[in-house]
Amino acid sequence: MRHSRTFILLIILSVCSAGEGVRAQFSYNGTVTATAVIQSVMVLSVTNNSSTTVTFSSPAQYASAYKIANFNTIALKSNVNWSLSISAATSFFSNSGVYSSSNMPASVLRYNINGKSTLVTLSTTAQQLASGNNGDATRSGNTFNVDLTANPGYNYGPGIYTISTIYTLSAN
Amino acid sequence: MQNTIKKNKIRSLILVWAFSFFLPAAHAQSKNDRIQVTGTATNYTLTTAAMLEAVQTLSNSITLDVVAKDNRCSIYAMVSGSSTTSSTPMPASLLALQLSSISPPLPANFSTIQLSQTNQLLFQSSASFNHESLVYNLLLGPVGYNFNPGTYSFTILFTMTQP
Repeated sequence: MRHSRTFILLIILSVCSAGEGVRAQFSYNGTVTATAVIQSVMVLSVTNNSSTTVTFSSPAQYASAYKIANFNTIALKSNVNWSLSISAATSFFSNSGVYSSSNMPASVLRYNINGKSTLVTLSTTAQQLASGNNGDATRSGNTFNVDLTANPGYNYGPGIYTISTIYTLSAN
Repeated sequence: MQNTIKKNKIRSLILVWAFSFFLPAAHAQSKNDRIQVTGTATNYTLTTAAMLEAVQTLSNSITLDVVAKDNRCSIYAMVSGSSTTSSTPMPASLLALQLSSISPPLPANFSTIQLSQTNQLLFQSSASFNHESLVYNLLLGPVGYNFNPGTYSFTILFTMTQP
């Protein structure tokens, strides 16, 4: 009787074990490695919001400078933290006109971020105008306006003066 | 005499029972069926704004050679590992697979399948077959500007299961 019970138990166990074998899920696999190399990418966009010709036409403009708010819009995209600097291409304006002066320096122009009081006086040495974090142009701080202030005073003769301003975006 | 017969029966059954424990292990993999994964040109180099701002596709870069003679099968993919030289890890979800071709032709999913760190079903057959070659495009991005320059590596694990 005892042997019969053992016999039945063993049959049940055997069936259970065999059943486990039937239910096992077969699995096979393989791998592949993908690599992405990302290099530094920086994009600077400068938009002139008003004419780049500034005409002085009143004594007040000579006396207390001529300010053009939102002169440029700067929009940048960068995958590294960035620094934006500004400089003049030449130390002096080029001049034309009988009474014009050849010694008007780049420093008669000053720039500031719209809404901020810090003024950057233009020179051939690049000076930081703004800095920020990686992101596209929609990231806060990556799009802003720049004000221009020109203040030649009464030191230079009437004429046409021209100078190039350079914005430089670099990794910070 | 009867007791001896019973004892022999019991011994035989014990042997069968003990052996049955090895059955699942012995049958865990079919000798016929397999999946072979081949990756060719699975490296991206992103150097321009346009590359960061659009999905980058490596066409026909991954081939799965599948033999499923014994039973129907399902094929899954997941990102099983990743590493980077940058301080900003890139999520697996920026990678995707898109079936480019299947040969010989069988019904299959040609839509883009975004990868993750868990298995995503790529292909399911309703019957066994001798050999199928599935060629996938590997897609990345758009990566955008939130990831610092560096090298990002991913291990993509393909698994074929059979019921």
